[in-house]
Amino acid sequence: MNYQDWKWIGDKEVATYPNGAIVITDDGGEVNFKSAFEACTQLREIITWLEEEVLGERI
Amino acid sequence: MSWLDWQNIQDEAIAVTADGEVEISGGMVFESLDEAIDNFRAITAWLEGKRWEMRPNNSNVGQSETKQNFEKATCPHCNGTGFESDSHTPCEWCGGDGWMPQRTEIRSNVGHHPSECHSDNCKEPHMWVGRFICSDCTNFVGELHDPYCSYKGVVTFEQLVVES
Repeated sequence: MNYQDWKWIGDKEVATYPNGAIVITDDGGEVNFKSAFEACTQLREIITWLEEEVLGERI
Repeated sequence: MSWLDWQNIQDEAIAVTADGEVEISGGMVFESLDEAIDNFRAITAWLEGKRWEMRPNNSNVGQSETKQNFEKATCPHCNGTGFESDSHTPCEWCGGDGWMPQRTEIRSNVGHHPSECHSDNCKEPHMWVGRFICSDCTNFVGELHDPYCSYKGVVTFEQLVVES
């Protein structure tokens, strides 16, 4: 399925799809962060992007 | 790789490794925007609750991006500035494990750890007689700098022998 929108956040690729699915990919099968601080920072950026841009566009 | 801690959050498995990395398995595939956002919020809330783990990995020591966010204090072990004023957070420089209030009290009341004297006045080793107990797991914690458990609570000193 082709993605609808996507964005690099740190070293993670976040993609949204027309059916509403969200997929986060990393180099490996697992999504890894160098530290808990990095994890929180990137996840917050992902939330912000999803809420403000992706959700905003859909509204 | 051993885990310091892990948690299942919805259908994701979050693990904190011994070197401070965070691994999220489960594919990070979400059926909806709301599910993804709820999941990420739950993960960050869990990680933020682990203040003891909120430090950079070893490769970033000394140039941490976290440094700007926390008030620093002088570490009682290494005299570095990697120790947060929050006494439950490890020192970024030497890995001092947040036992500072208890250790200060022990140092003044009991004596010295056998491997390293922390007294302000005395540099003699071999005077600590006792052991440290973690209140969370009740395990013996041997060296002051080696947290054998995912320390989150209070470490108390069990004095075995008092040397006059």
